[in-house]
Amino acid sequence: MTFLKKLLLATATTALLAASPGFASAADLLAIITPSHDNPFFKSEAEGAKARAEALGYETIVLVHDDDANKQNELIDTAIARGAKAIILDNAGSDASVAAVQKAKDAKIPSFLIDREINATGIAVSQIVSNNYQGATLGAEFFVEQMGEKGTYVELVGREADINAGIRSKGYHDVIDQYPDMKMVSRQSANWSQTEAFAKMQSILQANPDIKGVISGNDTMAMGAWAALKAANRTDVILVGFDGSNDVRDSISEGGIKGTVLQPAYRQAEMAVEQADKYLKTGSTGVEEKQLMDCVLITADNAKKLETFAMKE
Amino acid sequence: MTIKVNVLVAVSVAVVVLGVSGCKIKKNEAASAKASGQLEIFFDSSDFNAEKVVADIWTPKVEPFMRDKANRFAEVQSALAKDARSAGPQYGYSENPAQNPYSFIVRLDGQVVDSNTKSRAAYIAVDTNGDGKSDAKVQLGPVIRGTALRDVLPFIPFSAFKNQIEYANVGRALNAHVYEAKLSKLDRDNLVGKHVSVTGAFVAPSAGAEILIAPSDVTIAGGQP
Repeated sequence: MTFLKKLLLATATTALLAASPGFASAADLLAIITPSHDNPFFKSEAEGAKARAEALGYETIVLVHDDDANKQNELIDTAIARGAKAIILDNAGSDASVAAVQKAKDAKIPSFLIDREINATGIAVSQIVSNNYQGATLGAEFFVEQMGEKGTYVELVGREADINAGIRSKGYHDVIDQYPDMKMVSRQSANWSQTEAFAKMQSILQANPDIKGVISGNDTMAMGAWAALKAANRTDVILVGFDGSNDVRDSISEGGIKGTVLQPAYRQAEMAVEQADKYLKTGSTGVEEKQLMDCVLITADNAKKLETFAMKE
Repeated sequence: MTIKVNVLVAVSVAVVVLGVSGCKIKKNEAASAKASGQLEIFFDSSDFNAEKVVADIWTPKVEPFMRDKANRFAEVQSALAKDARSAGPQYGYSENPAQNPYSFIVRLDGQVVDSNTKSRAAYIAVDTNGDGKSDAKVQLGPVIRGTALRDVLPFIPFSAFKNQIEYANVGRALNAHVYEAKLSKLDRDNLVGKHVSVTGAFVAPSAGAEILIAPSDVTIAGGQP
């Protein structure tokens, strides 16, 4: 065998090794892109993904798009430019994100979506989302029970561009509207924001001083509403949130907010990374693209078991 | 002759339609509440009709499936009590066990020991083993909680639908169908002490919680019209 032939063979073997899916180099990079970490839910998600990725031997870059589709687009470009092997994404809007995920796919980078669906299949490899509808019906059933199936109430809705705001609201109403004595007096968006919910709740209370309940599309808005209710000496108002944050857990334990619905955010992010790892190594995740995870109702009965978007065994 | 037959058919169809609408029980949906700051951000798609999907499969597929796959309640109950983890795969079904709890199809006979028909989420509590204590709550509607009826049917997988809402609508439509077709016809007075036979579905309860059955069929002795 000539030297040249040996060299060619060696090169070919190396190339094969590098290309074979089982070959994971220490430099393999996972990009983790979520909305702003100001909301502990997204922070927990990013932390869950990062910890699992590093445990599996990946390097990570953690980026936030602040629910801005243009910024998300730039971050996808960054991930492509940095040579990321896969993207873990909680997207910035179910329609606006289709093109961004497609762009990553065109660059041969698989995306694994968490928390929010996009309105398309076959572009992302996995879409692991909480069953927001199921969770919302759990919250609404509990809310109706606490209200004694009757009375005036207010609904705080999340950001309108976010599909989960609509899904949760629909879940709430599909349950509550079946009770003719439940009467909604106001329904407003507070854009998932605690400060905005505080201000909205104050003005709603001025217009409707005798409301009996508030159902909120997430926990940060619930915390804002609760602060306004406290300031108005209306801690008798029945308030239910959504997400399962530690803040709301503590309020439930103190007899404040009545309940919330846990989305298993931390586990969801870990699962996305596990599926990305399996996909990179074997070319398949072995599961369906769209996967729904059930949510869990949190009340005074089980609040103690809740810690950072996960239930302790 | 042919014309006459056609007319007859048309007339009888009209009678059936009239008959149905004439005795229709008030539908289980309140007019959507209008309020200040009303937002329209629902994701209903008009080209998907969950009620029709359910109406088409109820008699040919759902009812026979529930009948054929039902296990005895006592057997499932004791398996769950002994070892909930292994009872799931043995007696139940889950589309994706890593993410969704198992659901079970059961048939049970027993005596009504408690009832609440004042609530819109009406139920009867049934004693199946004669100790006088409730073993399961059976939902009578009009509000039926959860989606157990959908979740036990392997031929209605989430992956067959475009999004959560369509999938959710099928769950709701199944509940609504069973209420319209069966539960709304039950006599709801003086249920305590009566004997009932039930086929239905439930989702594995969390530890210590009661079993809540969404029925596909309920027979109350002496309570049928």
